[in-house]
Amino acid sequence: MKSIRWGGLITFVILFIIVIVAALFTGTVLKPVLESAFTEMNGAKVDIDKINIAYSPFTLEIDNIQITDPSEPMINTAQIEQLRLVLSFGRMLMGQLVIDDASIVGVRIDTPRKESGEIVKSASQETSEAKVEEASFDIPGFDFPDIDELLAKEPLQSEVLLDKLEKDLAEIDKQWIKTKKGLPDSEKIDSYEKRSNKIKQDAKGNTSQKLVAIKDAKVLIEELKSDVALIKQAKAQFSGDIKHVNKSIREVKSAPSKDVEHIKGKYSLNGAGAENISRMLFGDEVATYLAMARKWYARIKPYLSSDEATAEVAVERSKGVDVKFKEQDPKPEFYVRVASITADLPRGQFEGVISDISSDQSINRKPMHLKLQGVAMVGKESEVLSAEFNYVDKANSFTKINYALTKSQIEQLTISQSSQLPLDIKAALMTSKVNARLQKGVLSGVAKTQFRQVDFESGNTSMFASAFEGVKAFDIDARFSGAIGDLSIQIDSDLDSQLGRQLKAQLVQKRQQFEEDLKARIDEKISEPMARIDAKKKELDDLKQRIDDSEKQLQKKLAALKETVDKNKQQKKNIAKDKLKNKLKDKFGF
Amino acid sequence: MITQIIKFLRVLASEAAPLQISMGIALAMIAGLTPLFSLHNLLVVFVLLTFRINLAAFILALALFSGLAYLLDPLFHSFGLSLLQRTEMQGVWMNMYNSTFWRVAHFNNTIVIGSLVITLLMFVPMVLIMNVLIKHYRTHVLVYLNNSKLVSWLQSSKLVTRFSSMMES
Repeated sequence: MKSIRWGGLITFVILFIIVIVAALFTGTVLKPVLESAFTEMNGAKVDIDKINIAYSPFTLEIDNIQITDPSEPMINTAQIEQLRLVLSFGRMLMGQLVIDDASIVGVRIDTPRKESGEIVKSASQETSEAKVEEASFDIPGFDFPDIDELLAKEPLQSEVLLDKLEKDLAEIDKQWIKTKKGLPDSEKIDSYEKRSNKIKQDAKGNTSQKLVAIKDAKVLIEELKSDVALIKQAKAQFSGDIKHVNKSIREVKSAPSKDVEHIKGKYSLNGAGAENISRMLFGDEVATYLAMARKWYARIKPYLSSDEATAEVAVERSKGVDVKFKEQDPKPEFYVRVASITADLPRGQFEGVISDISSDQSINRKPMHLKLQGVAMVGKESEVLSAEFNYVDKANSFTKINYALTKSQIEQLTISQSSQLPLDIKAALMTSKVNARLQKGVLSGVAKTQFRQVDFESGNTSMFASAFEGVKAFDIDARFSGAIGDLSIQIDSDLDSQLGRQLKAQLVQKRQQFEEDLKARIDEKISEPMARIDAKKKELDDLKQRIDDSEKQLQKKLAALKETVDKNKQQKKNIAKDKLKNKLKDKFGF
Repeated sequence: MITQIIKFLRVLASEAAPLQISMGIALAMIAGLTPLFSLHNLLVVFVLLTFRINLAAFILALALFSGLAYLLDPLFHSFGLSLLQRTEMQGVWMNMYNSTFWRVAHFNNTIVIGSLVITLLMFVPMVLIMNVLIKHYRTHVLVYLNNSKLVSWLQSSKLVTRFSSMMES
């Protein structure tokens, strides 16, 4: 026994116990270690109030964990009332943190902090989360323009044609003044009448008188013929002018309708543009939800198993390489078999289970599952979030998220804050299902949402806004795909067609009224020049009538004179014939 | 370090059993050449504290072997890797890997297993060789030195006496 150093042996045993107790069983020692490790993972302070340790089974109870939001150091991303972990002691000695059972009680999100939880703020964090601003959008021009303003700035075809017609009429008028001078006037026609009567008188007289009558008649006939030719020429010219004027007047009269059509086309009064309203209205909403999903994904990503292939470990001098062998029950460095969770969120109270949380799923060969379900829901029938984070096969890793919300009572949901269309849903029942999948950095999925018993409210009385009042139910299907930071969103909704129908009915009515008003105003605008034109046309028509009458009179006179001359000629012929007969009778006795 | 060297020289010259010194050196070889914070070194410390083994020899040798380990690590790594990859040993390693004790012992690390196997193989030869060397030192070298004029002069020198007493204090 001389060879044994008893003092040394006792010292060794005491030291061994102290080291073991200090390293493993003292919460005071563990607290800063865990705070430091979690802070490093989170990128902002993680505070722990107290750690209690029980030995059988080896249990760790952590009270009041506050996880700071790295982007808002005065806000906790989550605050956990108590985290209770049943640890595998053997695995812990092997350098693994394997939790057989975990319960996370009293989770609350976005709680205020008493002091800032900021550590070192990286530049990328400052720039990555830009505030989501509501994009403004243009409501299609369903509200008709002011007619007076429109008529003041729009050149009307009616006016152009009217001006041209007036100019043409002035030209015709000028031409006719000239032509009229050459035509026989009433005095001349009267003189023709007098001369005709004299010829008729002379024709009844003796032979010399008759000869004079014939001579006068021939002169008069020539003059009348000349006048008739002039009148015919004038009449032909006049007919052409009248035809042109009539055509122009027809054009002028049809011009207001054409002007209305032109204006309608130019100012899109045909209802086009009612399409894809839902994209404009709900695009920002969907984008906001996706941004929120991205934010939460970024928050939980550090705690998820990585899909990156494990890099070959370089042999560090004096450290060597840990060779891995097949395990009977392989576990990664961090593993939680099952964790139950209760959370008091602004949306309500939730309970759920997370299973197989792993730092390397390729080791334990099980994907992580999450199911979170609302309990004692107020204002909604049910709300369930389930997810699968599958990194078992690193080459084909994916995350699948399903979310279902049933009959959620919506009160005062702002859809648009645009000055053009402030729009709220005063009340509605919403049912929504979201299925999303993230694989190889590409997020794809569909969100189907039904709104029922909808009561829209708009702070604006435009036709577009009032169209919403007729919509009581609608569906929205949003499809998204693309890289997580650059998603393309496609939104389909029957809201478009419903609004389209509502708008079309209102539009037809309003358009008719507008067209009538516009036509009336154009008619009013051209009424005065049209009256002048009508008066002028009446003058022309009278003139034509007079010319026609003059021509008829002259033709009549001409015919009468020709008849008188022919009659005289016949009488003369008969007399000569009789004389010849009498002479032959006297000479030959038959 | 100078104190330790002086102490070691005194121990070599003392009546202490050569086995105590050679055991200290051999244990230091294990602790020094293998990674210091390993489970087996706890056993080394236990043996060191429990049995009458020369601490001065252990501490001085530990410093020497730790320095040497830095140069020998690549050799330990290669040897350990070849051991851990031996097909006929896979069953043994797998069983050990599934045992908490052996996992805590960190046997699957190439340097730990490589250096530990080599030092264990060298332990007994080291003890024997050191024993022989210490005995040889005491009977030949120490006697020769004690009879030399240089040592006599040094022993009579006031400077050496003062330095020696200062080191002792």
